[in-house]
Amino acid sequence: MRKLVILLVLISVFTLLLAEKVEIVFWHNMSNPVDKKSIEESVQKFNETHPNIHVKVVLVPGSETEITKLMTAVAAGTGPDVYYLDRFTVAQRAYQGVLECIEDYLVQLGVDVEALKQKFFKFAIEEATYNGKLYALPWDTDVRVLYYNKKLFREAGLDPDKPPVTIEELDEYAEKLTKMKGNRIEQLGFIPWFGQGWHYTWGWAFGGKFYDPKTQKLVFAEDPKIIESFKWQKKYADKYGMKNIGAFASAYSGANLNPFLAGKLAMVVDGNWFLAQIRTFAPKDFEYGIAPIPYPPYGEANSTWAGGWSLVIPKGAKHPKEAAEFILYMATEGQIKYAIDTAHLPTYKAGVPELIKKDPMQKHFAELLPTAHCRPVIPVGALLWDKLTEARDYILYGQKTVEQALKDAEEEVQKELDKALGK
Amino acid sequence: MTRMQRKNFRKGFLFILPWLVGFAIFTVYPIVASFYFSFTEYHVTKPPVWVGLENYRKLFKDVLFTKSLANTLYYAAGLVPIGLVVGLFLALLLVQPLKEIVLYRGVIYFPSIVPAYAFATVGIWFFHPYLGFVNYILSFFGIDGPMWLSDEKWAKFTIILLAQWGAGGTALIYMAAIKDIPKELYEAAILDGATRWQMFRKITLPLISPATLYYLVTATLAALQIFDLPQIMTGGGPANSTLSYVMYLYRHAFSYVNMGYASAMAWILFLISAFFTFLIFKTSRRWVFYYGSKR
Repeated sequence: MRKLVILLVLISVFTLLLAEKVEIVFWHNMSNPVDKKSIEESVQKFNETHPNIHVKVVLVPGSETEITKLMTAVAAGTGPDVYYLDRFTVAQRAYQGVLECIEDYLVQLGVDVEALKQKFFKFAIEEATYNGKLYALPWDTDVRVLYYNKKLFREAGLDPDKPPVTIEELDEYAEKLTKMKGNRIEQLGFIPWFGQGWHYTWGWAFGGKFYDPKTQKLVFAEDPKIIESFKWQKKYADKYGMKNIGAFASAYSGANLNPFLAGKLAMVVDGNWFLAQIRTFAPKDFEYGIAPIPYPPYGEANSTWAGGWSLVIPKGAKHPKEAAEFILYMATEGQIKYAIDTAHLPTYKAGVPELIKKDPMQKHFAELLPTAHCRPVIPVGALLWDKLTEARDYILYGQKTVEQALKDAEEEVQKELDKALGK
Repeated sequence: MTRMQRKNFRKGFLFILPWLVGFAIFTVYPIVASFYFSFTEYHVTKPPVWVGLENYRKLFKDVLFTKSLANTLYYAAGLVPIGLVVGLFLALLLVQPLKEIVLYRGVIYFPSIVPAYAFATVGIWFFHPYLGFVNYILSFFGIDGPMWLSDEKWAKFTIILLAQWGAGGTALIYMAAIKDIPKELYEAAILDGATRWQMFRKITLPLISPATLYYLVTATLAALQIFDLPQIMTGGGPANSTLSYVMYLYRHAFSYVNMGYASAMAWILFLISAFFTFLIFKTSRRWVFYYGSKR
């Protein structure tokens, strides 16, 4: 009889414990096995150390500005508790009412928010803020550099230890490194918009300015340096033909089939995370060098920009407080582990020395961080990105002049920006 | 209505009630709601704001709207007739009195059940300018094949060609229609000394016209809503040359979360579809024949 009582008590205690366990759902899109594993291990550790919370990880496709699944789920009230969001879009999503204000929940948890902010890089906190309040905690960051293939440099009679510094040199090298067979591209020296050669990358390298925070006006369409950066890109489109470039690129549409890694593209601008891919997927005898992004005489030396992801609580999360607790853990301890495991640059300052200790080569990248640009922190950041990308395509395919394409994009985004700012 | 009738009506009504409820919730309500949303600015997470005809006005100034509409009409103009010819041709082959015809039928129909994603991915490689099978074959004839999906001018046509992969469905319907034609008609024609072409032209074609009507309506509607192939194969590129109407609608609805605008687009597509359907039915009286019915 006593045994039975004890058993009953035990059962009720367990059911009580189980019933109190809160499950929070975490959506992320890091399908890369290395990144995914690190995140999963951190989640597991969190689950072990926080017996009252169980985090369930779900891999959900998404990208920089594409958050279809989240939007539909939030609208239907079936969204996750934690979402992995591109940080430069935090302000826009907060403005659209898709996010919960994480700062409120951090305060509820007794966190000193001001002290917490100090532990992250300033630009990352700025990107995570909307209307003066935190809507996200920053996750990783990145920088962009020029990668070049030393073997192809030698074959073309170039010094493998002298990467191009100026745009002029870049053009000259690109010419020498390109092999054509009729109209067919056998090997390409360089294509500005491959990899991470975005509008922002070149706009800043050319010394241009996209947005003026004082007047809250977009200024890229009137900036001669930005206009020049697009005109320079267009030269490549004209020289090789978009058709031929498209055909060349379409052979490498798979994730692990990168033309640079295949030794068919001699130079490319890509992110620091590309290093991990080179190490994993490139042939053993692959010889590469890393250099700053080339720039014109009036441009900016060592130019780069930093992006990265963040963790947010979507609107309608069932357990926002527990979600905030999990995000806090991930953004701090989880991020240090992530930096070590995946070579992604952390926004959590304590992670930087740990990363460099593990991988001294990362020092080159970490050194660029203090002067790195970050994209305009505006409530229409995602729209601006999309419109700039659209404008670039119009220009490259010769459907609009540089001036016209930029003007159209600027007008459209400015209109939305004014609306968002309540002007 | 007598009492009995009323009682029967009530019973019958109860029986169809589950369907009615589903129809009302999942079909009627969304249609009505989208009509309302098309006059609002609606970003899903915030309540809609009434803007009147603003969305429609914006649409007609939107270059991508016009472009995607033109692309879609191009798709329809290619997909519907080419699909008809291919489907009918296959059907004619599949009714031949061969011993192993069942096997051929299976083989011809088989590709139709391959999911769009799979054959679109295969298609990308099939039509690859340098490494693809198609240009490889063409090279034997000394033809320097086009760039297919990488070329703005060829990309849409490439997708139309690839879509014929799914012609088995049409072939199946035509096959059934052809097999329904009474044999004695052909026997009589042979006695009268008709050629094969005459028999096809005067007997087969008129008597499968109900199937053609069905095909034209469903294929036109499907073509106007083409989405999966261009979305997977090109994402709308190069230079928006393969961007279809529904792809652009989808972008507004789910990428930009511009539901008001997307709803307005949906309604315009509905009107276009309704117009084509009306046109087909209107002319069908002149060319559709039902065997045994008096004309």
